[in-house]
Amino acid sequence: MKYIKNKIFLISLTLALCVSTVFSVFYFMGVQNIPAAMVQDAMLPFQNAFTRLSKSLDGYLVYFSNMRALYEENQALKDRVENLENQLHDAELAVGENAALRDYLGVRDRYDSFSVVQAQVLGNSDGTYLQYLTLDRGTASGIRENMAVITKNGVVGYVCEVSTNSCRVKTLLQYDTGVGVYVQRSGDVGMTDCPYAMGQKGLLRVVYLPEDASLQIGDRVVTGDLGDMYPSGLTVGHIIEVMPDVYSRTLTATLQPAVNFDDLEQVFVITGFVEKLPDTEQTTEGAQQ
Amino acid sequence: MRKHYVLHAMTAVGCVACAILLCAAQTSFFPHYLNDAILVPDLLLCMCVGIGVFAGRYAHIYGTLFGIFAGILADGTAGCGIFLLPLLYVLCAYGAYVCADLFPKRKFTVYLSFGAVASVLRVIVAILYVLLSGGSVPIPDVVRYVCIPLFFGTSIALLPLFPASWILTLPVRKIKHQNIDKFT
Repeated sequence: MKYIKNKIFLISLTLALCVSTVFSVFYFMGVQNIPAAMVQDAMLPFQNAFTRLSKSLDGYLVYFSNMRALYEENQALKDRVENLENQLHDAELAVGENAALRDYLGVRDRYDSFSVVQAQVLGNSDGTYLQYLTLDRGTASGIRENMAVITKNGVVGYVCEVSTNSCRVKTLLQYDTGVGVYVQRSGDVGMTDCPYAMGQKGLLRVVYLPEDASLQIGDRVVTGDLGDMYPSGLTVGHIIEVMPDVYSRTLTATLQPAVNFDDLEQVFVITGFVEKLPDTEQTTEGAQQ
Repeated sequence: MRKHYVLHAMTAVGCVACAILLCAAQTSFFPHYLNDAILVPDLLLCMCVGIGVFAGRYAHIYGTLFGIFAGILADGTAGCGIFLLPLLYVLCAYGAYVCADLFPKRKFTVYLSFGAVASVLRVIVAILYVLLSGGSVPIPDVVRYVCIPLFFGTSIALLPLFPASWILTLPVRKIKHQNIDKFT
């Protein structure tokens, strides 16, 4: 009984209850969590330091632990370089042909330009059920909520929380993140979805594809025209499996995301993009406007 | 008397620095390496238990204050916006202190066994996070990807963090020894 009546314990417990209640209220009200943003900003230099440390350790660890793998990878890369040189020659011919065909069809690049901010990935959400990333850029760099985050390979996710010098990104692997997409080859439209088990394996799926869609393994899936968060045409991933959904008479495709979420270091936040429409030219800055 | 203040200050500064470093390591360093091993240790929880067990007669003060601070850091840095960890850490730190007080000669055993209990409580809080954040995550997935890695990661992390918590609480334990000498 003396332990329960301990004044220090009672004061600490009350304090902890107050902190938990007051700080959680921001979340349940759906407004920006100011205390969390302040803590995140304060922790930024330390996270930065540990990120650098892990990067510098990476090189040494890989060197010592994966010597055999590195040798094999080197051989494979040499073969690949040879193949790519051959392909490059073919590609140069194809580029000329492609340009001619595009002029012929009247198709132009849809987006004139992206304005992007480069950001470094400082940490993730401690490996539990959340698929968040923390970036080292915030409102001071022009980042706002709902801006798309990409890499040179494809879409990563979108900014869900911003503080002055950092922001949090909800990745496509988070179970409640969905993006309107279409299959680039066939033009079939669907929507990405990420069940929890698939997200843990680093996979996505596309649902609501038409029953008669002509899908092939390896088809590229890109962001669609609907919505103003993501510019259309950004690579989301490639189809690795197609299954019929007997209940909804639609097709469901499993995607290998274009981005390797386990190995993200540098990303780009799209702060604005100019979209060329047939009649008018529209400027979109994230989803703020 | 002045020496006591210095020893308290050393412990307090050590606790703050330790919380910040462990929080940064937990969110930026270990996920990079331990995700492959399917372990998600809660280092701050281990430290709360360690301080609660090893800080002697000041354990309840340092443990609970460390718990609040560490909880705010952990939830603020890598949480979803709901702050439950300050409460959990305070309860675990004080529980560890009570157990250590009841079994003063078996502190290491108390540290490990109560640490395992605290890991179970941490798993329950993780499930609460999933439920409160409105996620429609299937229970088997939660057990496989959250509960098991969190429980085993935290339980295993208790061993390597034992020296850290022991050294961190060394200054306050010294105060206790001096006072006992004075009275005897």
